[in-house]
Amino acid sequence: MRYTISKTIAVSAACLALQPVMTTQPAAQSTQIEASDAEKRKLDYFASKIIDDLAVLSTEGDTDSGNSVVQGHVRHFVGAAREADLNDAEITRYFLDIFTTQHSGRIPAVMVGSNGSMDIDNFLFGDAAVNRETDDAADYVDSLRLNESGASN
Amino acid sequence: MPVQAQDVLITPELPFLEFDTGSEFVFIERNQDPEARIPDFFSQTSRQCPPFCVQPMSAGEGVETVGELEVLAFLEEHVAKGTGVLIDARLREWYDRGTIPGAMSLSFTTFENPDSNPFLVPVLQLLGGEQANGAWTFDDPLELTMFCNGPWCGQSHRAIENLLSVGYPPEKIRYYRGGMQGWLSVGLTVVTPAGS
Repeated sequence: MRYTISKTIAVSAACLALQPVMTTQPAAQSTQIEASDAEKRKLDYFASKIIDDLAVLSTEGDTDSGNSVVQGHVRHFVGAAREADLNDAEITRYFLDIFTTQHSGRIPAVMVGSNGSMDIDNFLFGDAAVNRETDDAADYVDSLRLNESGASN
Repeated sequence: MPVQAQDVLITPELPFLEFDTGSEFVFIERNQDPEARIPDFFSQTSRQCPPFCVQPMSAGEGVETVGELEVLAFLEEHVAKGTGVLIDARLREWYDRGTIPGAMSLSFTTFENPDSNPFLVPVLQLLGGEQANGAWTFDDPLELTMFCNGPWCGQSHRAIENLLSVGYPPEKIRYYRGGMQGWLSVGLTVVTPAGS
């Protein structure tokens, strides 16, 4: 059974883009996202994992392994959201709602775009999954080349 | 499928396990951080024995000893459907520090002195037992998997012995001998129960 869950969005992505450290919360706005209880539990689980990962990166500094862990949870979160039929805008709002109320301190580099501002679209939907797929494909092609090379010797 | 891509799988066919009990979403994966190490407490090799003695592989005749994959299968087949319970037999304070997702805290002390322990009665009833004239019958008991801190921990072993002594069917009990030590050694998810 599906029903409507009210979500309060504390801040927009546009506001966050100019703010590398979260110190205050702009005025709230509201939206509504439809999800079942089970879907919401799953979304909240992965969102909280991301928040935990970001807290570690924020306090202990950015590391490749830390970034890898948070990107893994982002993929699960986005995957769960898509299974719940949320579109990208709803996924972003859902995450931002939790992020802006539960994260404090420095915004980790993994969330910051090349222009120095927070890039939530890239964080949630960007290079993590795409690059991973490209890398996997490249590894596979490399392994074929190596095998061919070995066979010809 | 890039959305679910992971480097550290549980098995090639099982990248992770997830299920919903109707009140809780449970997710288990291996730690994806290639720098992760076993927590210090579980890297200790030498504890005073007794009480921290090496446990036998079997916890009793008819009781199956299982590993991590069987625990995961048990969670999916029984805990998720309400037909079984994964029991953390350690003291509550240990459970509170971190346990296997989906586990219930029932300390081994709960099962002590089964003939005279009034606190055991509601527990055995919860597990599907019926008491008449002081004797227990288990016509349709819950499936159980019990664990504690690992091969050097006798708490789940002791709890199983007490359960068997009141007639709990051994074929309904599994013993996860690896316990938290085994679980953490392969980087499987640990949760800190809510409210702990």
